[in-house]
Amino acid sequence: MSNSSNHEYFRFNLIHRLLHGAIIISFLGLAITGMPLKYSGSDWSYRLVRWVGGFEAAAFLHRVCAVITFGYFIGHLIYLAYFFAVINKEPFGKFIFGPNSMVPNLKDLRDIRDMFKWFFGLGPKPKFDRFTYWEKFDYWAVFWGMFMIGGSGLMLWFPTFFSKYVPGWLFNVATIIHSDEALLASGFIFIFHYIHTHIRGEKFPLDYVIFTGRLTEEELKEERPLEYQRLLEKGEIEEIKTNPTPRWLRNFSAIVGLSALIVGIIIVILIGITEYHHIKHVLLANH
Amino acid sequence: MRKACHYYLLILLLFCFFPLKAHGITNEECLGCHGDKGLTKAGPKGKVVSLYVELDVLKKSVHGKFKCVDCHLIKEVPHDRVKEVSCEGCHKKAFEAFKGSIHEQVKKADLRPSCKGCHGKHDIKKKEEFPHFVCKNCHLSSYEVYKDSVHGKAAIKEGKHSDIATCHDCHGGHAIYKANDPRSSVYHLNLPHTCGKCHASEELAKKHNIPVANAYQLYMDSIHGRAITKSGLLVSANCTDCHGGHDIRKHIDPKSTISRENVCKTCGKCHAGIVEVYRESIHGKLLLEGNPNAPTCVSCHTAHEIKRADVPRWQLEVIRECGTCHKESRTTYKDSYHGKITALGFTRVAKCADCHGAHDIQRKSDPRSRISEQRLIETCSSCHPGANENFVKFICHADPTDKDRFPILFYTLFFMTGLLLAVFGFFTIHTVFLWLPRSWIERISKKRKKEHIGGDYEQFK
Repeated sequence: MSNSSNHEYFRFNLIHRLLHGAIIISFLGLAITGMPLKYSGSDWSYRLVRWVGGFEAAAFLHRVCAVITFGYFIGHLIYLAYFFAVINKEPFGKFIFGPNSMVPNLKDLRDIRDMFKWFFGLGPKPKFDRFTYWEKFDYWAVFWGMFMIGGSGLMLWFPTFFSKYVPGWLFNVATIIHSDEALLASGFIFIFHYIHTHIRGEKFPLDYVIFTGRLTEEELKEERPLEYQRLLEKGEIEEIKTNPTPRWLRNFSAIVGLSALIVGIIIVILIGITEYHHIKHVLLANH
Repeated sequence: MRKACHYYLLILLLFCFFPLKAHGITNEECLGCHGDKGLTKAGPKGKVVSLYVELDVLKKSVHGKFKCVDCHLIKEVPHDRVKEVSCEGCHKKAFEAFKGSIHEQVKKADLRPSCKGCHGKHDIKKKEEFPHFVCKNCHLSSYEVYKDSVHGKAAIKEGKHSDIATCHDCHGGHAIYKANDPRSSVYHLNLPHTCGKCHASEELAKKHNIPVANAYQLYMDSIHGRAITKSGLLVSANCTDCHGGHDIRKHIDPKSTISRENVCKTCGKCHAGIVEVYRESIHGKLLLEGNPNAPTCVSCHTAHEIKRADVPRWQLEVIRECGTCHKESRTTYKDSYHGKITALGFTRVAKCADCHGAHDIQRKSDPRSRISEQRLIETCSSCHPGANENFVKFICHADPTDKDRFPILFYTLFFMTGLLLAVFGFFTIHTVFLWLPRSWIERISKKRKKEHIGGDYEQFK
């Protein structure tokens, strides 16, 4: 990466990056203010809630972050509409099953198979296009999470309103979903998403691309050879060519990215310890 | 003239020697008369008073080394009527303390206790051997009550040298005052300190198997104790208001004021209205039926460390208290939003009593119950304005692991747990076990290769 070519390529535009920034802030905020409630019996929960300013403050901040979450979700939907209406020139159907789409396809299944082969040294690393299968999983997980955790959260936020239409035991269902989905989401992000994008050997300690929006030529060739090839053939590569990341942006990205990484890892360690004790306790009680 | 001068001096000397000579009266001289058992004098109302003195009694007493004349101030033998012995000369402090005490102020002279009335005449004992229940000579009815109390029984059993509270341990010795005199050790505001002389000591508690070792400390920090010490509130309960004074008994003794049978009546002496409501509640009824698990006042409020009901710490503690009997309800409550907030130490959300009531708890089937079908909407509405029939179908004490009672919740949890295990299972293998090590092996080997090439290049140069 020290090969300093004097140009880089855009992978994410400003809207992508801003929306992801909103996700980072709101997701960490939701986890910090929500997890103490899920693990209310543990010592760190008590300290964390006191630190945030008491449960009223935690509850308020949790809702603020929820609003940001709904905001970026709606923002993304509006962007999608704009994308298909204005930016995208391809026919809709062709786009959806094309390489720039988030929709999973057969190649993704092949890639998964080939990745496992590569893990065991039985084949070369598969060549990826613009979006890999784990990135698509991340993307759709947010949609799934949005309905599950967002829907249940909204119900629990306005119980008297929702009880005009649904029976009260649905709040019990919502509580279970909200709590378990929270564990699923934060466990997934703070372990697997972090490893997929940042902690694995190729990228450690941080993949700057979501903050700077830029890839070096080497990165683009190595990580997304099919995309590079495609862009080169179509002659579109010049469209995304840009100047190297300004130093301030790189430093800013490092600070924000590493901080978020560390906060997430701390949270998941706390969750892990608490779950471990809880499971041990349950297993011991059963025996 | 010289002879006259000698006579004069002799008389002067005689004058000087006269008192000395009286002090020189030996005990043997006294016993010359008082050793005779038949020596009597006429007392008041025609009584015959013996003047016989047994010297051995004096010898064994604390005053054993004294001479008769040290106390009985006579000038010559034989002597005329003597003044009553005054102890003041030596025991100034005790005398000062006695002055103004209730005993000194007894109007009838023949009932008024003097030093000898309590301490005896010639057989005055050391403090430790002071006759145990000398007070009963006058205060017989109090003694009769005391002797059956926990203190009385133990004191009688353990004898004179025990450290069990007897009359003077609580009431004092010389400076005894009426109970409503602020100087009295048993005055309402002073009494806790008096009891605390013993009941703040862990050592004594251990020695005598007293279940509550620090009753004094706990009480002093309680709402009752603070009212006494901080506000000087005479109507606040002190030790004896609950335990009784002379008739203190163990709580397992049915006659005790703090026994299961009586404790609510005791609290009701002040908290009459609350106890009235309690008696009508399911807990009160169970107690009356003799249910050994029915909670009394102290089961929830504790005995000594009673707090104000609006203090957060108590509001949180009482949840645990309810849970000692209602175990399952406490577990399911802890899993609910309400329970989790209280577990974090905040009290703004519903606690047991907010839904079930406190002193007026009734069965759910009882229409008076706050959680009865008739009143549930009203109860939920007190925090959730706008709660309706749907709203109250929320299951406050849900157990999603109970398939039979909560099938929908069970399958929700089942699905969510399955999803969690599937996702985490797949990615743990894919990402943590396989990709992560593979990617790091790649990174390290690449780095080595680079170094290797670099090395060759250096050599080439």
